[in-house]
Amino acid sequence: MPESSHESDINAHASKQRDDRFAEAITGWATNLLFPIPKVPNRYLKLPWRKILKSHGTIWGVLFIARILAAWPFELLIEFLRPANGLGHKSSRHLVSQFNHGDHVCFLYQSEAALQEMLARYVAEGLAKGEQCVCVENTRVQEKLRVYLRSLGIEVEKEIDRGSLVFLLGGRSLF
Amino acid sequence: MTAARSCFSWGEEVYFRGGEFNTKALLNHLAESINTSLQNGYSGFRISGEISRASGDPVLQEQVLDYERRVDEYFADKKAIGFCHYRFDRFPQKTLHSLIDAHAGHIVDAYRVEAAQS
Repeated sequence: MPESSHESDINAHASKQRDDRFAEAITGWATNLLFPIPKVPNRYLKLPWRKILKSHGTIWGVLFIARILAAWPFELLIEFLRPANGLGHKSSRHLVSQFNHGDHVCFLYQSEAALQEMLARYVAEGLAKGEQCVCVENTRVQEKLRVYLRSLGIEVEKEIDRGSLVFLLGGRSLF
Repeated sequence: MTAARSCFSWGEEVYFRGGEFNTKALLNHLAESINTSLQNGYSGFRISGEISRASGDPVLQEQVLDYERRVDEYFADKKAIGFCHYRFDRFPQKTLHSLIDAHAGHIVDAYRVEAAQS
C-alpha cells in the first residue's frame, strides 16, 4: 500500500534522525569528558542513556551506545585527517549556535548578556534559513533582542511585518 | 493586523491563557502554530521562551517539566526547533537536572559562569 509505505518512510526517517541525535549526544559527551576545554560551553554534560534505553530497549540501547563509542575514535581520526574546507576558523560559540529540526534545547545561563547573544544567534540563524521565529519573552528581553538583531544587520521591523519574526509575552513574568 | 498576528491565536500571555498553565492547550497551540507556519511556506518553525515564574512555584515547576517532556517527544520528528532558557541560579540543582533530562540537548553557559565566579 502506497500510504503505509509513505508512513513507513516517515517513521524510518524520524527514527534515523533520533538515532543521529543520540549518536551526537554520545560522542559529544565522550569528547567533553576526555577533552574538556575550559571556557567553552558544554552542550552535552550528561549521557542521555535513559532516553536511549527508553527508545531502543535495554539490550539494544546498551549495544547502540557501545557501537557509537566503538566507532567514535575512528570518526575522530577521519575528522583530524580531513583537509580544511577553507571556511576559516569557527569559534565554539558559533558551532553550538547551530540547531537542527527536531531539536529541543535547554539553555542554562546566568548572565543576560549570554542569553541575548545565544538568542540572537538562534533567531538570526532561523531567519536566514527561511524559518518562522517566535520569541516568547518578557518585554525587557524582547527590547534587547531587537537591538542585538539590528546589530547583526537584521531588519527587525521588516521581519515582524512579514510575519517571519513574532514577539509574544510569556506572562506572569518574575523579571 | 500583521501576517504574524493572524497566524497566532496564543493571546497576550502565551503560558497562562485564562490565568492558568494548561499543558494540553499549550501543546495544541504549538502543533497548530507549526502547521500554520509550514502551510504559509516557511521552511521550519523556531520558538524560544522562558517560564520564569516556575522558579518560585514548585507546583508550576512540575507542570513545566511535564510540558517540556511532552514537547521534547513532539518535536523529535517535526520541522521545528525549541529553545528554552532558564537562569540556573534561580532553580534548585534537582530541578535543573530534571530540566536537562526533559530536553534532547542542552547548553550550559560555562564561560559566563566561570567569568562571573572569577
